[in-house]
Parts: sequence; C-alpha cells; structure tokens
Amino acid sequence: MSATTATTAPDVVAQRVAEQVLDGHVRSATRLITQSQDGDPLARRVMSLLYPHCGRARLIGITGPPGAGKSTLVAGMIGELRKRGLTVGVIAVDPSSPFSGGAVLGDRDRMTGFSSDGEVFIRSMASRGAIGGLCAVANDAVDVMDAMGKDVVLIETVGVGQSEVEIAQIANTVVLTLVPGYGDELQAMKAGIMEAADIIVVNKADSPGANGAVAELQNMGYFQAVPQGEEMWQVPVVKMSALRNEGFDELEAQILRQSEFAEKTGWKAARQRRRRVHQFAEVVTDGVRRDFMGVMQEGGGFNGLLDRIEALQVDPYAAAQGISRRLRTLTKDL
Amino acid sequence: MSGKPVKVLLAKKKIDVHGRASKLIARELRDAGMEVVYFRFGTVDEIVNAALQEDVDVIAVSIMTSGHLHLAENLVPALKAKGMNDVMVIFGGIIPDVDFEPLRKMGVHRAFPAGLPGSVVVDYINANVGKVGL
Repeated sequence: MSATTATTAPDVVAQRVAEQVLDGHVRSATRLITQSQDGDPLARRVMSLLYPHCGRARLIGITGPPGAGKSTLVAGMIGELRKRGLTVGVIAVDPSSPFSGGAVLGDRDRMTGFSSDGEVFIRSMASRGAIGGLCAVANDAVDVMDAMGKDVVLIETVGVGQSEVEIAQIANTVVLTLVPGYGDELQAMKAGIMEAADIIVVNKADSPGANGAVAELQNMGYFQAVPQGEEMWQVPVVKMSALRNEGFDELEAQILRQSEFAEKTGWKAARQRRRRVHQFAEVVTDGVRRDFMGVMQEGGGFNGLLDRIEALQVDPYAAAQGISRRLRTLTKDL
Repeated sequence: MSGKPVKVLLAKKKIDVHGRASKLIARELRDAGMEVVYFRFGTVDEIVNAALQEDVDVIAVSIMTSGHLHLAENLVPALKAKGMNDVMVIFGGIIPDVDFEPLRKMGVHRAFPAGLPGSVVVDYINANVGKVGL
C-alpha cells in the first residue's frame, strides 16, 4: 500500500514550523495548536509532517464529573512525573458557552508551581461545541505535544456526565475521577462513562463516605476486555486526596501496572490503532457532512430531489437511501 | 459565534489578593464570546510563561493593590524577550489616572479605571486585538 504523498514540494514555512516543534519550541507548538483549532490550512500541512513522529508519548486521560478534582489531580500527577524525570504535556479542556461561544478556562489556575519548569507545557482549550467531553482538535494537540517529545501527555476532559466517553478513543489509560457521594450502586451499574475507565479514583477521600464509595465500586468489579486472549483487566479503585497530596504513589503504581499489562497483551497497540481509525473516520465524515451541507445550502441540489422532498412526493428516508447507495458505490471504488 | 474567539489571559500579580473584580470581568469577557484563561496570581515570569504556553491574544491584569508601574516595567520587556510582540496588554482596576500615561509609555496598551462597565473593555479588545503590538 503506497501512501499518497503531496506532489508539490513541501511548503518551506510548514517545514520550518515542523522542525521547530520537533525541537520542542513551545511558541511554535502552541501556535500550531491554535491554528489547527481554527482550521488553518498551514496547520494541516505541518501536522502531516509531524504525524510520522507521533506515537512515542504515553497518553493518560483524566475524566470525571465537574468538581471532582480533576485539575488538582493533574497538578499532583505532573509533580510525580517530574520527580521521575519525565517531561509532561497537559491539555486541559473546559466547556464553551453554547450561548456566547465564550469560555472560562480555569484548569491552569490549579496547576501552578510549574511555571519555571521548561519541561512542563500546559495548554488550555475551549471545547467549542464538541460533544464527548473532548474537543475535536484534542487529537491534534496531543500529536503536537507527542511530536515535541513530551514523555507523557495528560488530557483533562471537561466535566463529563454519563455518556461522554470520547476520551477512551484517545488515551492509553483512562483515569475516571469520582468523589464520595457520586451515587449509589445503581449509578455505578449504568452504561457509559464507568465503562471507559481503566482506573477509578475516589478523590476527596478525606470527606465522609469515602470508604463506602471505594468498597461499593470495588464490589461492582469493573473489567476491561482485551481484544485477543482471555485475560481481562480488572479496573482498580484508588482512594486519594489530591489536594492533600495523598494516594499518588498508589495511582502511579496502578498506571504503570496498566501500561505494562496493555503492552504485554497487545491492548495498547489495539487502542492506538483504534484511535487513528476513529480519527480518520471522523475527519472523513466531517468532510462529507460539510460538503453535503454545502450542496444543500446552494439550493435546488440533487437534481430537484430537495424540491420533491419539500412537496411531500418523496420521503426523506427513501431519498437518503438513494444517496447512501451512491456513496457506497463510490467508497467501494476508492 | 462566528470567527475565531479572542483568547485572553486574565492574571493578577503575586499577592494582589482580590476576587470579585477579576471574576466579574472574566464572566463579562466570556459572555462577549471570548476564551478566558483564569490565572490567579503570578510573578512576571509566571504570567509570561502562561501567556506563551496558552498562545493568548490579550494579557489582562487586574490590579487592586498598586504596583502596576513596577509590573509594567518588567512585564513588557519580558514579553518582548520571548518574542511575544503581537500580544495586547491591558491593565484594569485601582489605578490613579496620573499613571495612565506612564503605563502607556511602558507599552501597556490601555489602562482602565475601576467602575467602568465591562462592555468598555470588551469593545476596546474587539476593536484593537491583532492590530496593536509591543
């Protein structure tokens, strides 16, 4: 299979930016993240150049409901990773307003103390309407930090509810942060975010009900199936108080254990492949959707099909079937 | 929600402890469609580093306990040293109006006295962002 390469000579500017990013230049890297979020065509060229350099960093996702202590947990994790001499990138996502488009990005405020450390790169991002708790360009931001040579990239999601599991598509390890009083056993049984966790943290363990919550979650017995083989990953429950700096040793040990397990069983490789396939599918469907909406807006599109739908002559499902059939034929020929 | 949202680093200098004013302006900017990185207290280096990593268009410093001249004197050259020549720097809060001109000479694009409606700041940012430099 031969990769399609650009027929024109690589753009000089893109080449220069890519080199700066690979050298670990923060200003170039952060600019690139902005430009990719803004849909700048130059950013796409640079990302293409960086892509072969990705795949080295360990990606750890931190998710959980709002106010569970995700940012404080991340701050503690940065400290632990730095003690072990690892370089760290952080992508912290907070929600954009569906009304004004504005956002208050407050995660960085809890991650002070690393400002003079050149090996820690923290970047806040607004979700800009993306669902799933992760913004559409989190993938790009992760790749930029990976290409810069960060050993570990921590991805903090927006505060999530039950069904935002996008994080599982990106991270090698998903840490779900809960607090005592998250709910009862019935909540813990529900489908969704609980299923995305590789490690569950019960944070704020200094508040009442912590032991009960830990015991309940342990009794539920969460497992992650590994693609091939009979072995399953039993999701550990870690009791912590991030603010009081308690429990990080245990969390670190569990993350390492999960990494080794994932490496050994081929789970990690499978997840990495899945991430890229998912990303590819998203980019393609986004593009198709955009093109399709473009044709719709031009008016009178699809040989008068829209008119016939409006006139109640053809129902939308039947019309869509025709389009789908033609798309399928096209896809097969690719 | 059209166009790229303006990104603002909202900072206070170290030990300039106040909350209501900076939280109020954070919300005003958010409601005007801006992305506000809320950053409590920082030394000059910390503010510069945060602005650099976050790739902000604007650095807004909320001032309560004076020291703004000293801050401007150090902040603007530190930003330039990092190559951040295209960022807008604004101060707001308890600033005597005799200091406005010295601040401007030091490179602060605009100082806002306390008590103005947030829309004045919003309008200034929207009208000048990307057009001013250090």
